[in-house]
Amino acid sequence: MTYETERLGKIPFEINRRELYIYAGYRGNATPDEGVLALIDECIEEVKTASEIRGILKWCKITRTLDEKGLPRDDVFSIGDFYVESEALGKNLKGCEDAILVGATLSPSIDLLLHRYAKLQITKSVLMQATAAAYIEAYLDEIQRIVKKRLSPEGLSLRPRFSPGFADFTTEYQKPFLEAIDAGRNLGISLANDSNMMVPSKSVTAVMGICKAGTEAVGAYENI
Amino acid sequence: MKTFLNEAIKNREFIFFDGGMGTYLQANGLEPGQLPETFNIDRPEVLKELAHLYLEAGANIVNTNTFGANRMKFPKDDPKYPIDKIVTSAVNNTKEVRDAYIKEHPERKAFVALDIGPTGKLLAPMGTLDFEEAVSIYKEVISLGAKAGADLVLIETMSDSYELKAAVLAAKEVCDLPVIATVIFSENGKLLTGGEPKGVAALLEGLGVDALGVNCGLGPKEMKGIVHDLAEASSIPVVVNPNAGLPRVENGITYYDVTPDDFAATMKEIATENTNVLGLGGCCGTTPEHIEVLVTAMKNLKANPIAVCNDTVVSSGMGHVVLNERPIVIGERINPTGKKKMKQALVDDDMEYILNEGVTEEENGAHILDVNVGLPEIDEPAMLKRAIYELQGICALPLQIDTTDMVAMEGAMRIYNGKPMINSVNGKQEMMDALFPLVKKYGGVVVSLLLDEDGIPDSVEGRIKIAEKIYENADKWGIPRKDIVFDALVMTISTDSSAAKVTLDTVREITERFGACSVLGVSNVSFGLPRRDLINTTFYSAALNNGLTAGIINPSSKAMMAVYRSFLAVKGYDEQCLEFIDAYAGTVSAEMQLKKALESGSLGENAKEATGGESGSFDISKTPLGGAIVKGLKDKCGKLTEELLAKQTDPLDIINEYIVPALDVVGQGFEKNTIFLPQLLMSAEAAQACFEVIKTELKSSGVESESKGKVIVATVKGDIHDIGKNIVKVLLENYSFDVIDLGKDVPPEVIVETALREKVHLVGLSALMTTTVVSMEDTIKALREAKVPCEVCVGGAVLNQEYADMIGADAYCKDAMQTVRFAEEFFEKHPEYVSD
Repeated sequence: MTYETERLGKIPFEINRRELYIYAGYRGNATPDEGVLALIDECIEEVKTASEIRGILKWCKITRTLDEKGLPRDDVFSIGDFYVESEALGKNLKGCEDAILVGATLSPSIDLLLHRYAKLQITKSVLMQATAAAYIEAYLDEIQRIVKKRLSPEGLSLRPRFSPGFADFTTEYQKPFLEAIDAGRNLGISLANDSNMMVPSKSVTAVMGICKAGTEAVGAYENI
Repeated sequence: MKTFLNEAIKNREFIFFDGGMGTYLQANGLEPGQLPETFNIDRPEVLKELAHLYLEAGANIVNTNTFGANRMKFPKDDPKYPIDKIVTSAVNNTKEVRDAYIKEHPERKAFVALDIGPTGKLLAPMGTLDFEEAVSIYKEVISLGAKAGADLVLIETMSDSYELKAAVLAAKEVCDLPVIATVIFSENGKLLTGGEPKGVAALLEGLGVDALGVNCGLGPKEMKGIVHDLAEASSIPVVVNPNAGLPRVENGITYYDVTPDDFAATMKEIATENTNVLGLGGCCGTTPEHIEVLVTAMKNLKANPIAVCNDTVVSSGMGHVVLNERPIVIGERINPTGKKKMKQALVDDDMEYILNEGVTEEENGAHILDVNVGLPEIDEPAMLKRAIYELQGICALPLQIDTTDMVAMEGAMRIYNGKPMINSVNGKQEMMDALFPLVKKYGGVVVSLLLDEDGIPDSVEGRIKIAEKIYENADKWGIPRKDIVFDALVMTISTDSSAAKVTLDTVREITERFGACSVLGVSNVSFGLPRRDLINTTFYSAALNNGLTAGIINPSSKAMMAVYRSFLAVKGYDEQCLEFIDAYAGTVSAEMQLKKALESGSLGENAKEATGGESGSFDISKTPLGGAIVKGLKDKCGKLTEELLAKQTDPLDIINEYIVPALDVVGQGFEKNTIFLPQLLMSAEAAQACFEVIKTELKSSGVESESKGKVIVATVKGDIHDIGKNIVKVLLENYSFDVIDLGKDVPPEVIVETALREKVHLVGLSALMTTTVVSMEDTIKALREAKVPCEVCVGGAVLNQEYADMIGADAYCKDAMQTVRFAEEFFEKHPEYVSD
């Protein structure tokens, strides 16, 4: 495995509408009515036009801290230089030797739109939030698909993405995570003052464990 | 240093900057996560050695190790690393080496640059750092550095134009040192916040920097196109400090692969292929060796001369407009003159109305928005500042600051994110003496009215004379003539039939004699006449043909925009007529529309629908208004409410018989999971449209609208997510509660103080993050400690009943409807609070 950093710009992908509806508050199989659908179409168009989507992948080796018996601990480890103590992420990465730190952002122009609708049009504000979230998730899904395809000849695959804020992998990790991928310089992401909220707001960080094919679901969401 | 820079410009000599620092510090023991500036105190020898190596390599400018030095990272009272010690030691270290080196090499010129980087926090409204706070952070560092003896200020790696402006302003306000500012562009040729080279150059030159440029982010090869664009857009020296290629990380170590030879070769191409490129150096991954090979490669080569860019450019945080490329439209709608609703919005502090006007203008094709909020009964400086701040937070167009109040003008120019258009100066000496110093300081393109102490000349020559006088005054202030645009002044032809001709001829004269840009407030021409649209369009068309740059018009006027778009198409400004086709393909003329409508008889049907012939699928929608609310048809709701009022329906009956039952249908649907959030909100917005109409009616009949009780809503301190709070606000308002919205990131004391002052007995708090639930708890404690007689309901993504109990809230509301229900119950239990 070569441990390197890759920058990604725009790649073709499709937004997942079902996911968008869920973010917008729809439950079960409910679908928006015509009026809302028209607004959603507008939102998708606006997000597509305004975003300068970009991402970064940092391929890292996982180094597990040894316990008193000299055995590697599952819950204390470093992904590259990124030091983590987390049972939940540890479970997600069980059996993985390597992982990818991924960061992505839709750029501040989306915040301008979110800001605009938050002030002026509450329905669109909610739909815009949902659209932007679904959009960046779809981008990451596509990245995940591409990486999986690349890994598959070597008999490798990926665990589900795991982001700061899940279980005991708290948002406190956002800061060291962003430092590990040099997100300020590479993606223009910083943290809002005295908090762990990312700016631009539509940004995502996540760990993707590289695992043997067929073990994608091992430990994924168990007991969290 | 200033003399050195001027000599270099004159003699066309390159100035060499130093290279990277990070890799060197890491190789000398800087641990990951350790702040590099701590070395200033702990390991000064490492920094001195590096500075020496760069001087030996041939650098003229060596940087202090102060890139991240600010009080957020190094507080004043830090026992080991206080900010003053960090900055002073950094300057002293570099100066000491420089002085020793010059002593040994008196033929060499070398200067110490106080290195200034981004604060690491994004400015509000995108982030949370206040603009003036950013200025103050930079002022502190720069005044420390200047006092310690730095020769110049190098602001670098800036990726946000607003923060860049804060840093340059700070430097200008605390010292007289030369200021050089370089920014970091991404591969797409934009700043991370969206600005492009042309806009960045306009901003920086407007602020009066001595040189501008680009650093970091990219290698010299990837930077070529950007440097070209930046050099073409500049009239001052350009500095190029690339990385040694794009970074590549292997086994946790970052590598930059461009060798000193390749680096120097590409830099040589950059320097010889572009004008203005005078400063050459490096950033991440470049070493003393890179600089040495570069200096050697450039030996005996002359820099290209500094070319002047004559474009007239205004910019915003995300974009820019070149005025002399092709005609543009300035939107006139944000101005209370003759606009009753805008006037009312300003009096009522209704920012939403103002923002809506701006967005509508943008959607209709405006390129720049004029912003005039001058009313005798309001605090204009405060309102103008707020309007500019709010508009630039939601709209990417450059703004034209329009006021005669110089205090308001300065306040707005200061916080404007970009190089603004300024409306206006005129030939009166007093006026020029007041405005030009502001333009000199903050930058701007100035609309100059061709009138003076003697009034408006009625001849072309008279007006041109004033233009010349304005030019001469601008020269005195060092304001480039390209930043002066002329308003030839439009007077109505209803009182003087030759008025328009003089104006049109003046526009032509301005264009031909000066090659300058021009501006006209077009619609003044028809004042006092019937069918003003006919005169306005004809006059606008004639003015464009005479060379008019920017009509200040109403972009919502289809007729005026048709003239504009047709003119672009006819004059070859619209390549392959693409924009024209985009705007008008599939449309038909008004005459044709009418003809078709008459033929098909659909006019009658429209009329029928407008009076409410529709039947919907919900019970309440047996009535047209109820149906429209349930379906969330905002536009229709306003109209239907007006119709009901016209039929003498009591406004309160409309609320109780139509709006409330309709909202209840939707609200219950939401609670039963048959209607979802977006539909709930569409109905809420539709109901709001009804309330707007009703409020206006009540106001005009002098009746106070009835309130069900006052509620404060706020997103707690530290949290900038306000969408949940906004939803709650809209729904509470729908149900006739009087809502005081304190916004986001609200400190506990503000909530306490407001509750006491406004006698509010119900407070709704929102938090999205686990980390800010703590602030929620603090707020509740503060309210209890201050003995505010109120109940607190809380909500937000991470909250639940358990949390709410734990932090001492009176209620947990899982969504906006529950908040409404809770508020209803609360005021039913406490009727004494309703009218408090």
